[in-house]
Amino acid sequence: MRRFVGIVLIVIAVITAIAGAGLAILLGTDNRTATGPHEIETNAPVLVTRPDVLSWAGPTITLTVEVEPGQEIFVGAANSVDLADYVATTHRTEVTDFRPPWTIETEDVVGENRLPIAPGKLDWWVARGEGTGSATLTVELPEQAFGLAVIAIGGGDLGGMRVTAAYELDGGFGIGLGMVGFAVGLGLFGRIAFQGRSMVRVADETEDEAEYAEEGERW
Amino acid sequence: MIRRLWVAVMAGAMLVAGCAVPHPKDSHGVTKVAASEAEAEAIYDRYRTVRKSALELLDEAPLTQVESGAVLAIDAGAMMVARRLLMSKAPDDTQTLRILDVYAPRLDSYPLWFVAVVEDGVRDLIKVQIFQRESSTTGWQMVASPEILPTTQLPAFDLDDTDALKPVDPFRADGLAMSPQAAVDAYAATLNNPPDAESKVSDDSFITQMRQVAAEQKQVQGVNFTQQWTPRTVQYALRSADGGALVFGTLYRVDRYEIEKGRYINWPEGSEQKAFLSGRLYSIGELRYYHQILVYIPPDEGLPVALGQYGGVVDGVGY
Repeated sequence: MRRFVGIVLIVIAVITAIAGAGLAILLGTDNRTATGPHEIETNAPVLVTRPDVLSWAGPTITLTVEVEPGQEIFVGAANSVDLADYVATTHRTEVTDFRPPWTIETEDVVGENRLPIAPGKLDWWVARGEGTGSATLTVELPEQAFGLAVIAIGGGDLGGMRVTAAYELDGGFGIGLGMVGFAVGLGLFGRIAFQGRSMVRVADETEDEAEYAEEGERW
Repeated sequence: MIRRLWVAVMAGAMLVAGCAVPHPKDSHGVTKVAASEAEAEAIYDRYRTVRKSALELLDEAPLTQVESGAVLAIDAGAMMVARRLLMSKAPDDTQTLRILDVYAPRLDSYPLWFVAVVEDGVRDLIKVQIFQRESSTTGWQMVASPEILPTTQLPAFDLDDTDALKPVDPFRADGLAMSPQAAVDAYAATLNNPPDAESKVSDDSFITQMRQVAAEQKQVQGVNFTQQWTPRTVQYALRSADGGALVFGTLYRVDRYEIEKGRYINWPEGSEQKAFLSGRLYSIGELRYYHQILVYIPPDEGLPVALGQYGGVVDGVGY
């Protein structure tokens, strides 16, 4: 039984060590990894993510969106309830699925070619960025239902859009190293269990008797 | 042994640190809590500023930014009365309003709304107000503002595990003596019926006060006075901690004066009737009011009771 437990602990330790080392290597000392630029085909003035696409909380992402030079764009992050209401009647491309580092599926939704109000006038954006030709947004993915939007401002569309995404995990490099350290400790336990050695060292009886004898002489 | 224990503790600590890695979101789905306390304070600050400006100008136009529906109609009516009667002091212009509590439900679509319990220190009243945002592209507007006395005990609200209010479907009587809409309908029916008729609501101070007003109007000689109450559709109802419900209802009231031939009505100077129906009336006069009522419906059995109200004249015609 102890051998079996030892093997299990060693296997877990190896997996944890690989995952931790992978995380540390992936993120590097700046706790950050980037992918892109990736082209997204669309002729809509708006691109949004569906509520269930960003289903994880915690990491900080930085999106840099590039479009045709001269086209003004807005990049925003908001609660999905706000976003869904805002773009409800607008022609848009919806990101229906996303798998990191960068695999996406999109769907075109017909509608009007303009939004009811300019995005910059709204107060519910959690994070936002604007620019001509490109714009950047940095946001920590929150617990609430959440979506991202890229909007062509002042007419025009998002043709030629390219997106670069950077994922940042605060302390990610340290967490990776920590996982490696934990794996080492776990592996040691596993090795001890596998070898069938006791966790507590029992003193040798003859040594003990000799010590008592010496102490007895002193008394 | 100690060295091995140290390794285990360090490894455990690192594992705990690892809990900060990306994790699935909470299980509340696509929802939003309308406003935090800080957001509600900011919304209320804007409301105070705009309302103050409207009162100083005696002009209801700015109010349309921050009020809507029956509240706007009531406040605009009060301003019209003040303006037409050239009152030196605008209504409510000495209010000092302080938010006591903010409660917001978790909603999956617009309109979003929240409840603000506000203390009016000058008038010694508690206002239980609802602010609503009709869509993501509009601003916050106050849509209900019933007032209760400080001595009136407001039932504790039922909150979920995220401290969000639990809204009640206005047309369902889940665990209630009657549905929220049925309660407001019952108030209108009671006020339309004679005092001795059977009623499905409590004989509370709101009923007593409104009946008293109607009785006084009926005493005017040579005038046939009638009063008609109509319930409006209930939009806001929330669960109380005891399983009951608090309902924000609106009643529309029409006071009609049919004047006998050869007689006329000349309303007293300074009255709201004079503001809306100036000069002498020889045939017909009609004043229309909105009354917003805060109704408590007890769980299971018992009669609904109005805890507070806010009302006023909003329109009038006569000749």
